[in-house]
Amino acid sequence: MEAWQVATTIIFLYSLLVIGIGAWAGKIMKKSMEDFYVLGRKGSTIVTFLATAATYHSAFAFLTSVAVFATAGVTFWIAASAWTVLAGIFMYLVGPRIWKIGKARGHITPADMLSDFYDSKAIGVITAIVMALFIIAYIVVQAVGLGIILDVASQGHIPYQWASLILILVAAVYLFLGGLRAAYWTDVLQGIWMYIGIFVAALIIVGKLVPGGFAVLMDSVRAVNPKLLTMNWTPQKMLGAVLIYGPGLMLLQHLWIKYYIAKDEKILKTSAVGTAIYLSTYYIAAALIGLSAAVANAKGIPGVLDAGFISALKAQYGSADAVAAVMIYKLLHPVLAGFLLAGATAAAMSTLDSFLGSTSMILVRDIYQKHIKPGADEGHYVLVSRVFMIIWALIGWYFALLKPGLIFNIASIACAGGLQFLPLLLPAIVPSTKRYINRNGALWGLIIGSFLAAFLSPQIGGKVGFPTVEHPAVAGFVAVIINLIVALVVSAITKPSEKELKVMEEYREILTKA
Amino acid sequence: MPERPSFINDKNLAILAVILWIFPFAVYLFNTPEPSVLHMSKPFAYSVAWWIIVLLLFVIWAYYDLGGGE
Repeated sequence: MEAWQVATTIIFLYSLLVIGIGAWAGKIMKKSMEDFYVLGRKGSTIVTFLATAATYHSAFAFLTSVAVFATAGVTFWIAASAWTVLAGIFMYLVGPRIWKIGKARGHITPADMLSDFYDSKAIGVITAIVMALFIIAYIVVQAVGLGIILDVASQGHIPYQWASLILILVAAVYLFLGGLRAAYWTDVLQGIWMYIGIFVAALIIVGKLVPGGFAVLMDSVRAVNPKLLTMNWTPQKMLGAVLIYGPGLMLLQHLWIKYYIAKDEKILKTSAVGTAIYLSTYYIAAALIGLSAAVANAKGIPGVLDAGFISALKAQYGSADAVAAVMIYKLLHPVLAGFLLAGATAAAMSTLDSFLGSTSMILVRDIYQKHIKPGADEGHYVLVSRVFMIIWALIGWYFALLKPGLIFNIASIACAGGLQFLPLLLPAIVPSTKRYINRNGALWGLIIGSFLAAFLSPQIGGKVGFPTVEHPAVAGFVAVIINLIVALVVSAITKPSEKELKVMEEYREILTKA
Repeated sequence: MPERPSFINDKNLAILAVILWIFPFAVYLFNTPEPSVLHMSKPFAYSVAWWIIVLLLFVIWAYYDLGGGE
């Protein structure tokens, strides 16, 4: 067998394995929404932790982090070490509160909670729509990543567009068979696989390219491009990135629903600590591969990689995201490369499945079930949610065909959207006797903030002539400030309803109960 | 049952996080590539040290918060 056949076969065997797990999960699934989506609220520490960590880290972590390390250097570590630990602390503080309220009042989606707290159907519908739209950017990221991985592994025998579609359908099939329970189970396998995979890849690649250890790697990077060892983002981009990838990402639906799967608060808090450790240590390996790639890009590796190979990848894929996959394929034994690229596939799939599952959930539960066809049996809603999964998967694939650019930039749009829910969430989970943000303020703040998060981003606003800022991370930061101001001002000039004040009191009782 | 120190609560963790997350921005004060510890640049070495400290603090905090303290 040729090297590409070995690597490709291993990725397909991995795909069969996760489909098998999906079928198994489906066999024990009861046909209820709560079981289909949040494991009947019975998640153990290992499932809650790895489902959260593997979902957080995606094609973004395996592909684009390496690409950014290779092109922007330690900048990525300085920002990512801050946002990954912040994500864990945010989950530690916010998760148990969302869990407690969700258990007491039967919530399984973000819109359930926000529409309940603000006593507003409109907030529920807009939450579902905003989340479903912003998540498309993140689905595109996984579709791009999956296309790159299989295209590189098969050396173009399975072209990017078909590679992307095949692996998206694998994720859709196991989700179809086993619901989000399948996603949670496969997340456990995928979380372990991708973590071990990136460290094995890092140790071998650094050993081959820069023998002599870490200090030699630092000196080599300094010799080829000293700027790679400094912070190259503006302070506002760094602040924006820390906020959107810390709280922002943790508020998107695929991670929000993880707060509902845990069996109890202690499991959720323990998982949050594990998540912070997992997410941040992962970038040590990514840094080693990325910085080695920068050295290889400057010097070339005779007979393996040409000097300037990153520019060639940019021309081929529209971004530098293929750097990690190419390094693994070119430098490692085909069997090992196959296993490690399957790890990269796991990273993308473990997030994609949660996107598709959680998005179909909010569309069915928050819009279809409440406003289009109430009163149908649960089996019908499960069927409709499966249809939504396929539709959203195909939308993501369509945009991936356009090769939209660096995964980091595209993912940032989705996270900038997630951050817009922070001003709405805080009044619900921080007990207070005064209502600073009411229904009207929350609604207008969310609408204006979401609009600005999207259209201040160069990738969206720039295409329609809207004035933009330097990066979606900055857009998210600026938008949430305006969102908060609008929410506070509108709330100050309008009165909350009696029902809103009553619900606020009920939330306070739930949160303060031991 | 072990006693949980009174300062271990969510409010204090949130305040501590806000204070600690100002520190990564100090890299702009010494943003040069010259070698320091383990041949890392100063901003990189500082960032790694900051990360180790906050991660350890978080783990220790959770240990006491979740009832594992002495």
